[in-house]
Order: sequence, then structure tokens, then C-alpha cells
Amino acid sequence: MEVYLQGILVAIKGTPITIGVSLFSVIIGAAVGLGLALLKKSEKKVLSIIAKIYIEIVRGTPMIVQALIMAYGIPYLLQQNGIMFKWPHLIIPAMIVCGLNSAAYMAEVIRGGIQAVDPGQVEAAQSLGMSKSQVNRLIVLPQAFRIVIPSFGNEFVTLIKETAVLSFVGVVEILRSAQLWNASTFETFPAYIGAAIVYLMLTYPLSKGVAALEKRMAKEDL
Amino acid sequence: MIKATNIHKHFNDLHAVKGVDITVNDGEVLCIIGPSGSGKSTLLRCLNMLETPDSGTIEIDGVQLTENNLREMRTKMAMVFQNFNLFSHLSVLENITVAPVNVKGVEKVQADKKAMELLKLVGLEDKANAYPRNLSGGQKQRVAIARALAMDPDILLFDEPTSALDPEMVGEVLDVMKKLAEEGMTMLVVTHEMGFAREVADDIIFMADGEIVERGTAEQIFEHPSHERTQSFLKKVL
Ligand SMILES: Nc1ncnc2c1ncn2[C@@H]1O[C@H](COP(=O)(O)OP(=O)(O)OP(=O)(O)O)[C@@H](O)[C@H]1O
Ligand SMILES: [Mg+2]
Repeated sequence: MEVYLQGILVAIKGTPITIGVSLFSVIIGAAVGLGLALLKKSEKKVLSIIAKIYIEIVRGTPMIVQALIMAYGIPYLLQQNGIMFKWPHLIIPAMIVCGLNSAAYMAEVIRGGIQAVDPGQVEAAQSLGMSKSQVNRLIVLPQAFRIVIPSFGNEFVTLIKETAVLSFVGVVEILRSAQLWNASTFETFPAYIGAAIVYLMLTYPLSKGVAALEKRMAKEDL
Repeated sequence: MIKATNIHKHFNDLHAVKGVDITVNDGEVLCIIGPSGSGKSTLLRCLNMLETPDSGTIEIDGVQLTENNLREMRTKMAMVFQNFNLFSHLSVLENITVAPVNVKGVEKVQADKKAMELLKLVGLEDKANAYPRNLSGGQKQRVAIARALAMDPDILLFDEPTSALDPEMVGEVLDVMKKLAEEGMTMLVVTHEMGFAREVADDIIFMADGEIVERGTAEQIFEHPSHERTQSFLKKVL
């Protein structure tokens, strides 16, 4: 029994990294996702095409491949060209890749949120003389943001699980902690079951929390 | 004074507004009546370019509306919508101040003070911190009127302001509009409320099929309509 407890404790050591990477990724994802959503909405064709291409590339390639390119490929390329570059910590490319991945997804979510805002309110704002950017900043985005907050929460939960692939890049998050312990003790089952339990301890209460938030917001509004 | 000349608007093959001329003088209350689908809303929305007219000109006090002065011109003709269109994430007070502060650059303190005066005018000073979702339809529309007035517009445009209301709330909104009319506000009102039009309007326009059929005083339109279409419309609604 004790060995299982130990497996859980080892996995727990990886949680700050898992949570940290996931949290930063959500923030990067929301910010870049907002930019992408606005680009996509833009009347300038070029801008909306750029956003579309970005989203296609990110969605069409596995995150692990993107992570390997970012963590090792890019430093290699730079070094080949005589630029001494090394990530100060692998967590940085990890967060960038997860965040940029998230952004592609969040762009769609935010676009949906923007579309869900009552067009009558947009007209009212225009009729009061607001410019396009004022309408966005003062009327549309604050409401769209409220609408998408639960999706941000769900994305955070998803990222906690998805960041497991970063173990292959060498970021010592939950799964990597378990792998390293397994390598030195050969307690294979306790190691991985410990990781699974820790993931569940994180995702279960979080997704319940998001569901509760969603319910409360639905009640408060409409 | 607002003056629109030869306004045309198509929706694909549908010719919704067919070369309408309309002038509203300062202090005048002009009501537009007419059957559903006759182009009343479209005409009103063309005036502040919520619909872009295919052709025609719009002037306020002799200044022609163009793409470049559109935003400034819009502040001079505030609109009240059938469905209120209050900003649901903002309090009543913020609904009223958001445009003066951000569009006209009015100081927040000043805007708040003015908003409270306007809320008093529409009888809702106790609702300043409420949110639209907690108001009745009639209260929402009165806030929407206060929001429009906060811009100090030269003219108020109303598109069926009482059509979405429960019958018992129509009166409270019409009362506010009557008060504004008495105070000399210039108003262009699309309405199905014939009683209101008869009582308050200086002039009434009857529209059908995208055209102005006739314009006259309440007396002329209601008692001696000169067109057969006006007569048959009035027979149906009165
Ligand atoms: N955005 C639009 N796209 C296509 N057709 C439209 C649009 N807006 C209005 N129309 C059409 O234009 C015509 C005039 O509509 P409008 O809403 O101006 O009439 P109305 O006189 O305001 O009617 P109601 O009394 O029902 O409000 C109608 O046939 C309507 O279906
Ligand atoms: Mg209409």
C-alpha cells in the first residue's frame, strides 16, 4: 500500500509545473485567441486569411511535434546560423506551444462569444456614435468575455491533461515525475496509477467548479 | 432640422423605400404610420445609416451626412428601439453615461449628474444601480429614452417604442414621450399608437409600399384622409 502512496506523492511533486504551464497557457491562449478572433472577423481579407492559416497549421499538427520543434528544433536552427541560443528553462517553450495551441481553440470560442452578443445592442451603440473599436471594447467584448469564461475554465482542465505530452520534451510535470521515479525504482504500476490519481484530483474538482459557475451564470443572466 | 431627400433602399429585389423625402423641423413631432412592411423602420434606419441607403441625401441643420462625419451626426439623432437594446452588462446609470463619456468626452461626474436628472425625468431615479435584467419592459424603454437624451440630440428617432410592451406598460412610456414633446423636443416617431399620434403629433405621415402616401395634421389624416389607401388603413386600425 505504501508504495502506492509514494507513487502519488511523487506525482504530486510535478503538479506545480503542470498547473503553472496550464495556467500560463490559458492566459496566452486567451490573449492570442482574442487577437485571432478579431483578425478573423476583420474586413481586411489578408488578416482573416492569416488567422485561418494559423489555425489550420496548429490544428493540423500534433502538439508533441510542435513542442519538439519549439524546444529543440528552433535552438538548433539558430545555433546552425551562429546564434547562440538556448532556452533558459524548458518550461518556456512548453508554455508557448501549449498557449499557441490553446489560442487556435480559444479563437473559435471567443468568436462564438462575440456572435452571441445581441446585435441590437451593437446597433444601439453605433447609433450613439461609437466607433467600431469603441463598440468592441465597451459593449461586445465585455459581454463576450462573460459568455466564454466557463470555456476558459474547461480549457484549463483540458490543458492539465494535455500538458502530459510535455513529459516527452523533458519538462518535469506530473507524468515526467512519475516516469523518472519508475526508471529508478521499477515500481511501474504504482508510478503510473499515482500519476492518474493526481490528474484526477486536479481535474475532477475543477470541472465541477466550472459546471457550477456555468449554472450560476445561466441563472443570473437571462 | 433634419431633412432627407430622395431616399432609396433595396433589399435584393425588394424596393423597401422608394425615393422618400422627409423634413422634420425643430420642435416638431412627426409620426409615421402605415401597414407592416411598408418601410417605416427601414426609412428611420436609413436616416442614421444603420441601413445604408442606396441613394439620397440626409442633412441636419444644413450639414450633409457623409461617411466622414457619420459618427458626429449620429450623436445628433439618438434612436430608441422597439426592443430597447439596453447594454445588458452595464447598470442603468452606466447605460446612460457610456456614450457621453466615451463618444463626447464628457467628464464622468458631469455625465453621472446629467444621468440622474434624466432618470428623474423618466421617473426612475431609484433604479440607477439596477441592471436591465431586473427592469420591466416599460422601465427598460424609459431608460433607453434617458440614454438617448443623454447625448443632447437635436432629434429623437423612435421605432415603435411601445410595440414590445405589455399593454399595461404602454402608458408610462407614452407619458414620457408626451412630456418630451411638450418640452419642445424634436421627434420622429414610427408608431402603431393612433391615440398618441392624434394627440401629440404636429404632422402625421402615412406610408405604404415604401412611399409616403400623404402627410398632414392629425385632423387632416384622421378626419379627412385624401387617399383611398390611407382610408382603408385607418378603417382597419381605428
Ligand atoms: N435587413 C433586411 N433584409 C431583407 N429585407 C428586409 C430587411 N429589413 C426589412 N426588410 C423588408 O423590407 C420591407 C420593409 O420593412 P420595414 O421593417 O421597414 O417595414 P415596417 O414598415 O417597419 O414594418 P413593421 O410595421 O412590421 O415594423 C419588408 O418587406 C421587410 O421584409
Ligand atoms: Mg418596423
